[in-house]
Amino acid sequence: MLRSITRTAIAAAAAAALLVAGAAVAQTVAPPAPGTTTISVGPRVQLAAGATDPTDFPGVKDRKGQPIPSQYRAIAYDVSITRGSVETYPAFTVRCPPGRKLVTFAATGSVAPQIVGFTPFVRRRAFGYEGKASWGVIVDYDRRVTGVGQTASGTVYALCR
Amino acid sequence: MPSAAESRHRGGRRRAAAGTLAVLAALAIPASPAAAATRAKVCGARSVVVVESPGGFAVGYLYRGDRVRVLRRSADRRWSRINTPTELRGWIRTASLCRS
Repeated sequence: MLRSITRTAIAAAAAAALLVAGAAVAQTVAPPAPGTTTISVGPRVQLAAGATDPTDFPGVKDRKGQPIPSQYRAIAYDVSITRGSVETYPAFTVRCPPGRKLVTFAATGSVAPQIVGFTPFVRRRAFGYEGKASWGVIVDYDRRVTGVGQTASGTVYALCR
Repeated sequence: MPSAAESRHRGGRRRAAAGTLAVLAALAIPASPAAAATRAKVCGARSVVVVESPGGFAVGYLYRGDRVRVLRRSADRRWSRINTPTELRGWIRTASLCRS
């Protein structure tokens, strides 16, 4: 019994020590190094059919401001990039809701998706996403307009059917 | 029976005619697509979408000032087939392009 209590106490102490150490590391790592690009990608938000279309989706007839047609769902990711002296771009996989396939991509604001492939980590571009459930994108911005220290932000959309 | 001088004269005429034909033929042959590619840059809107076919789905975006090579135009000339140094290939509205 005593052994069991001792083991539990040791395990709890070890866990607490790990937590304290983790917090200390997080505090140490938190401030970005000077010159680092800061990226934030928001959670995946789904716009249901009937919601107001936020943008003109290329290749489909529905237009900005009109309701999203019943057969479509739009997926949105808010992206914000504060440019550092070392350029870095967010890369992620856009996923349609279960049972739906990609139709096209669009963007608003000062960022835009560049279609890259099955995953964002490919060497060559591959554009054949139509009919796939997910596809990789890299989000970039106009480097002529967004200087070092400035922020480019916007929303990347995918339309699924 | 033509004399030797007359034969030489006729041969010279033939060579001149053949040369003229060769020049005309060279002028009539259309340039290869690669040679026909022209340089342009994106102008107008802050960013423009590049699509996989005229009126088709998005494959990427270009920004004002980006340089592209125009490979050809659609039949109605409203769309231009382009590629970029970053391997982005597709169609863009001709109205979004201007001379670089």
